[in-house]
Amino acid sequence: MIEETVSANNLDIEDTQKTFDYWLKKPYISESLRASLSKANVLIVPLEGYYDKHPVFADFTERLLNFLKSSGHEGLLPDICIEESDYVELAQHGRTLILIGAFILSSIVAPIFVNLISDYIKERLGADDKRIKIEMTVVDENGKGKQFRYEGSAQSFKDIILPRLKGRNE
Amino acid sequence: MTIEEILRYSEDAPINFTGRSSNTFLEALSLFKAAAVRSKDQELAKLLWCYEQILIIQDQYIEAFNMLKNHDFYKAWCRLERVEIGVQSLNRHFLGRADRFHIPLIQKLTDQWQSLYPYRLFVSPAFLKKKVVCSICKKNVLLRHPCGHEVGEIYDGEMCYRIVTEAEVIEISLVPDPVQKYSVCFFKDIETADKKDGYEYRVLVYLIRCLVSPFDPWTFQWTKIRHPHSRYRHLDKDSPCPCESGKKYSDCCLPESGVLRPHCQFSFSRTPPNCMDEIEYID
Repeated sequence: MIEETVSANNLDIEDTQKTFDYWLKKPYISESLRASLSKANVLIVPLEGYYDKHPVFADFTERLLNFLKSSGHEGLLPDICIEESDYVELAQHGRTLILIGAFILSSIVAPIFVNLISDYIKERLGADDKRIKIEMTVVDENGKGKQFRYEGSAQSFKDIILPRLKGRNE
Repeated sequence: MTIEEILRYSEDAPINFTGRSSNTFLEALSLFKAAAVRSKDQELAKLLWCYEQILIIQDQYIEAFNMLKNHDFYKAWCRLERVEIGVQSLNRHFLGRADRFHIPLIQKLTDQWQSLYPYRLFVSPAFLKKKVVCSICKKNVLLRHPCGHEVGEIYDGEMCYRIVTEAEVIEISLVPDPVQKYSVCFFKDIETADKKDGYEYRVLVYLIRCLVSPFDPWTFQWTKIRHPHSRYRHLDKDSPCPCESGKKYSDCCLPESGVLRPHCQFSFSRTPPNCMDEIEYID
């Protein structure tokens, strides 16, 4: 059930069962990779509903992963839910809407993550004036997940999401 | 040749744009850049890359202007896209005074030219990027073992980008704001299979006729004016109004002083040749 909708910038928030475990049990993840991914607190996951034959990721995900890894935040442990050899990016048509990707993250790093995504859009993609689409599932300390689906102005992303994250952590 | 001479040549683009040949300057810059890389001076190599880009952007912009003069509109459109991409790349790295080399003017005029084109719908593929190579080290791009080269950064005087070596097109879409602006939709002649360019370029034709130099600033504004009824004598009073309001001509513009139509008003910094100050009507 959708818990909250902010229509001006299309933010939907709802409960989800698709947390870390859901993705780590995917058949395309090997045992050794699963062990490594279980240490991550930010997981880039494949896009759902875009391509059904193979897991795919948003354009520039490789750049985003490197950006997150080199961010210098010690508590941030980003990884990507795919074997190296299976990694495929989906390059899309228009530049009106930029698809950032889908993510699972621990609530403890959620504010850092949102700030970093905002910096990435501005500094690396130069897309501060565009519309973006992003899905992020925030998992609390009890293992419960809330999915934030945002489609709206890149500039407003941080200001809209951050207060709602704070509300959940309190 | 010295770097100062090259910079002066770039500075003088509004003077030397006719019969311009930048090859010797580009070759000289390439040699300077190679020397900077040999001496491991990455900052200088990056600066020389910027100077190279400035020359390339100017050349491409002048080429686009000449193509417009020759009414090669689609070719000019593609060249203007190259200018746009070049300016974006340069602006990220060039810390000097870009106006010394007319880059902000080129950027503004390129944007204006593009906005006057009649192209509204573009063909754009969605594809899966299966294998990707780094342009700098030519190594496969790996997720967990990155080569360390960041897209858009300058290494040894060259910009880093990704080369897709294996891809699968999964769909083709029609989009209004494509990643690749060159993907304009054209019709094909059924019999000859030749491209048919049915676009209305008369606003561009009018504008290019008014300009002597690609570096003469101009601006434009879309307004509405009334066209004389004499242009619509062939229409019955019960016909749809030519202003495209959807009403009958007699219930809309016919009782007025003329038919209300979109109007592009240009302002030039230099008086156009042959005093082209009359209104040209385009349907």
